[in-house]
Amino acid sequence: MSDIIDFDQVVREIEDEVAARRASGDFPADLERQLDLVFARFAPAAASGDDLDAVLAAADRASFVDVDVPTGSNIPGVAPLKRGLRKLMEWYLRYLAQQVSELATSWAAALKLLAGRVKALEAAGGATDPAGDDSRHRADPAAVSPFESRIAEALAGTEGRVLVGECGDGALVRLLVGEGLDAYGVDPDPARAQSAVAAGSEVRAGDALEHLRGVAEARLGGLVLCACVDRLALAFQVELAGLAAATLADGGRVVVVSTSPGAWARASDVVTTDLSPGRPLHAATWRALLERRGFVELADHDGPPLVTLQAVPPGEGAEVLNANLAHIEEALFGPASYVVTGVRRR
Amino acid sequence: MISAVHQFIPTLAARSAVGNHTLAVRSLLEDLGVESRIYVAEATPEVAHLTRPFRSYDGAGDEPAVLVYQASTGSAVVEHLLACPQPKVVNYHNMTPVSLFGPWEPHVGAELALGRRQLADLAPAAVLGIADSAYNRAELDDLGYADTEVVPLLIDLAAFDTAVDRTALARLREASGSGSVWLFVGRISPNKAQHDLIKAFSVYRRVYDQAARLRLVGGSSSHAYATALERFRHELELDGAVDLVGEVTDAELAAHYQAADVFVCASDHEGFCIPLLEAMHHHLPIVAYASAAVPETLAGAGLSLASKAPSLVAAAVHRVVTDTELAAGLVAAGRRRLGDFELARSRERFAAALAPVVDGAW
Repeated sequence: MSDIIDFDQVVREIEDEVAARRASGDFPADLERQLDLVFARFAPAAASGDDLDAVLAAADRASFVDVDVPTGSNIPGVAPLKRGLRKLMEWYLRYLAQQVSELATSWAAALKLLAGRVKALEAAGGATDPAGDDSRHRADPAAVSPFESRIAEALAGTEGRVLVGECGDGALVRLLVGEGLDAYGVDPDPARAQSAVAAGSEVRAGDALEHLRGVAEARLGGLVLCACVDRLALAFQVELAGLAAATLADGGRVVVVSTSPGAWARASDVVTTDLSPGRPLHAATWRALLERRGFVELADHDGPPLVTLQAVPPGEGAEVLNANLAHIEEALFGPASYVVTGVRRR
Repeated sequence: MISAVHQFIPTLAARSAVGNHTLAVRSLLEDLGVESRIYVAEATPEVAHLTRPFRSYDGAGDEPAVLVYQASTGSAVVEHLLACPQPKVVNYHNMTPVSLFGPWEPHVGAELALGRRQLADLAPAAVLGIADSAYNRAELDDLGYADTEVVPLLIDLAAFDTAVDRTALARLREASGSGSVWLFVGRISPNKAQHDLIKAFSVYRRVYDQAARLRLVGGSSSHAYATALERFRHELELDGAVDLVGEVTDAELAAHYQAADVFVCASDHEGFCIPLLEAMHHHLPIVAYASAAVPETLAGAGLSLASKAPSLVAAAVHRVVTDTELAAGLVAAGRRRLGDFELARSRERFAAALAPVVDGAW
């Protein structure tokens, strides 16, 4: 019977139903957050995830030290003994608890002040919209397709594992495996990662940067960075270059596939570009970052142009016009993307 | 020529997944005609007679043996093992990330952090890493293990066929009334995220079925977390609808599976998750959050959710309990998936994985 039921399709239908019920108000917008906040009241501060308000509230609650020690016991005679001890020790415990509570309360107050200042800094610094849909900022991994043969060529003969981050639907991973490489991928979209796995690729759901942070020194034979380099903040892109140097073995190959900054700025979805936490770098910048970290044989190649202006048919003045059109095309549009390759030397 | 394969494990516990696996490995090795002993730091009373203290193994001796370490937490066993010259195999069952456990039980968090450091220390010394899922194997690969294999836990599926406690079953069915029954089996532990099940169940009761029940079966691994769950349940006015059942006998567990309509898992981290197989065995449809090794264990034999937003989990459970064709399809898929874990097949795979490092011992 299950042969005719596509469980993935069922899940998609359920997701659509939930989205519709959320939109209609059947599922109140703040219902889930309210549940999170209720549980956060009973969880230790450090278990409250990255919700700063919840962590601060938990720290506030934990700053009170209760000296009213429980005295119950299943063993006969022990409960009265505990009560007696509590009475005897109360003056001592209260004295200590008061000081600990004061210290903790001071820390909690300091944290609140700090949180307020961080929020002000975030607002002043133009942080991205926290309520926004993060998926909008994820570049399309299909942008890699014009470079597939060049990537395969750059990685040919690589020994050891080859990581593709972010790999989208896993097409590049499958291509590299087909070329005889031990390739795997990482993608931040769990649904996309899952479909890549279903298509036969070794793909893990997760963030490429986070994943690289966990990879051991000189463990990789090859590394392809795509999509994430179009949106990560500058500090994280620089960290990516450092992680590439740290995780690639001697002779390991790196490939960076990125959108050209000019093409990115002209992307049609202005909301995405305006709210993106970072911007793509120029190919020359990637070369410089990698060269400073011990990469050699660096090269970059442009992809197809963003827009191709139609050439004037042969005739009087056509040659001059076409040369000017080429200049205009270069100045206004330029290549849509580029690839930078290099080899790690230790 | 290798004449013995000994196992080392921090704690050999009866009725635990890793404990049962360790005993099954010993049984396999004995059947293959290889001497095999189990060395431990601790053991529960039921199985203590099968073990020896790990320090009693004379690592300095020149016994031609292979030492298998059953890795699931930090332990002093590793230091002793590293001092032994014999070739080592790490059988990795995963370790809960410190970030999930540490905030609730700092001492356990420290133990898990130690375990992860030790796992890295073992990498250069291990001739082979055997992981019970590809998810676990990826961690070994990332740590630099030179040679790794995936072999499922050795599970005796026949052991799931326990006689049902009829009295318990009648009591559970009576308590269930007309509402649908959610079941999760696993220790009360932050990584198993029972609080997220309660959140989803709360939405489910509010939107779909006010008579529904949630049963959380399993002993506690964290007093702080168990206390928080009780308070959370009380705050949501679900005292009468969410049962924190605690530990049960095998017969009572079988009754719980029979009395439930759906098995729901919201774990943030599972290295394998045997209860998923138990649910398949007891013909329960499964709804699970696709985290860690869960999708791999399920392999499509359940509704695998990319998010565990309470409303999504609630809607998925509602779909399963109201769509009999879907439920039957999930049960059928589960039965097929179980076949992949037949003990005989897993034993063959384990023996084949070990064969290259035991130098023709079998």
